[in-house]
Amino acid sequence: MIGTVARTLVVQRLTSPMRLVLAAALFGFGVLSVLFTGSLAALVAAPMGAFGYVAAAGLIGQEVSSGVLTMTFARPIRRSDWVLGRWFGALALACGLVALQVLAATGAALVRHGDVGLQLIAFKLLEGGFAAVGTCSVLLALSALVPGLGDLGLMVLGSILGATLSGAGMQTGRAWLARAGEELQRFLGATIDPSPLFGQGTVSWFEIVSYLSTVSLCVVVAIWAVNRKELSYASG
Amino acid sequence: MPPVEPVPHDAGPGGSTRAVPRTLVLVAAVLLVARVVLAVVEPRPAPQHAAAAATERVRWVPIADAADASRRSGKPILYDFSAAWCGPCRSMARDVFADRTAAREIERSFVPVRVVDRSREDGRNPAAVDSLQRRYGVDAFPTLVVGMPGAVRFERTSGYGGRAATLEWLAESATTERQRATGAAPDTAGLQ
Repeated sequence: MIGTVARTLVVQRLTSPMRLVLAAALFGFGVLSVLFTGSLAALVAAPMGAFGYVAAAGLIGQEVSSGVLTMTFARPIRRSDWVLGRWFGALALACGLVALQVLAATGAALVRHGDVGLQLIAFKLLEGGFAAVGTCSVLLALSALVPGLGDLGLMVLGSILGATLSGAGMQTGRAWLARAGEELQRFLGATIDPSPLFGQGTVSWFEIVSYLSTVSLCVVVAIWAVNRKELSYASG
Repeated sequence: MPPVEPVPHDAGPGGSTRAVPRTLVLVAAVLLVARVVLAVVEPRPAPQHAAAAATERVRWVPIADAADASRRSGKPILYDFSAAWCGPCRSMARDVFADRTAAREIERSFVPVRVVDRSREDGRNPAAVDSLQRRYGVDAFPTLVVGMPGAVRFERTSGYGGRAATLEWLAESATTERQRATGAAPDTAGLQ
C-alpha cells in the first residue's frame, strides 16, 4: 500500500508542469553555478533542499482541496499508510533530484577541471539529502494542517516569525527570546551539517537529535491531523 | 485532476483505518524528550566564541604576513573585515568560512586575512587594522576586499547577501584578479 501511494505521488509530481519548471530552474541554477565557478562547493545546500518544496508542497492539503482525499478514504485504507506513502514518495523524488543535480554538477566541475573528489561528492549528496528530507517532513506536517498550498504560507510566516523573534531577542538582550526564534528557524529549516562525518568539526548530538526529532514529530503530526479529518462529499 | 491511488486495500489486521503506528509515536516522543534534555545539557558556545569556532576551517593568515604570502604564492589577498558584535559577520563565518569545501576553495584562490574591528570593545583599533580600514574605505561589516598587495585596483563588497552570493562574488573576484595579473585588465585606474 505504502509503495503504491509513493509511486502515485512521484508520477503525480512528474506530470505537473509547474513543478517540473521549478525543478528545472533549481537544477539549472545549481549546475550553472558550478559551471561558472568550476567548483562543486558552489552547489549549496539551500537550493538543493528546495527540491523538497517541489516534491512536497501541498502534499496533503492539495488532496483535501481537490476532493481526492474524500474519494481515497472512501475505501478501507489505513490513513497512516497513506500519509507514510505520500511522505516516502516525496522523499524519493526530492532525494533523486538532489542526486541527479550532484551528478550533473560533478560533470560541470570536471569540464572546468575543478577540484572534484569522491569525498566532496559524498558530502554534497548528504548535505542536499538531509536538507531535502527536512523540508519534505516539515511540509508534510504543515500540509496536513491547512488546505491547498497553505503549507508554503505557513512556512514563510514561520520563517519571518523566527527571524523576528531571534532579532528582537538579540537587540533587547533577551536570550530566551532569541533562542525561541532560533529553535523555530531550526524546526522549519531542519537539516544536518554532515561535515563531522568527514572529519571536520565536532559532532553536536543536539543538532542530530533535533533533526531526527523534527522529522519524526512532523510525520506523527501529519498522521494525527489526517486521522482527525472528517471527510464527506457534503462537507466541502 | 491528479491521479487517484488505484489500489483499494484492507485496513490490515488492526481493522481501524485510523490506527496510529505506535512505534513511530514512541520514537518521536523519545526524540522530543532527548531534544529538550540536550538543549539544556549540551554546552552552547558563547556568541564571541561561535565566531572563532566557525573560522577554524579557513586558516587565516596574520595581517603582517599577508603581503609576503601573496607575493610568494601569486594569489590575491582576501580581507574579511568583521567585528565580534556583528551578527551578519557570524552568519557569513558559519555559512562560508566554516564550510569545508568553501574554505578549501578560498585557500586555493586567496591568501585569507581576517581583520577584526575592536573599536567598540577597546575604544580604538590596532594601527594595522586602522590602516587597512582607511585604505579600503571600510565603513560597514562585514566587508570583503580582494586585491594584490599595493595594487590600486581591488574588489570590495559590503554586507552579507547569503552564502551563494558570497561564493559567487569570491569566484568573480578571483577571476578578475587573475585577469589583472595576466594583463587582460590592466591595473591602471584609481581607487574604487
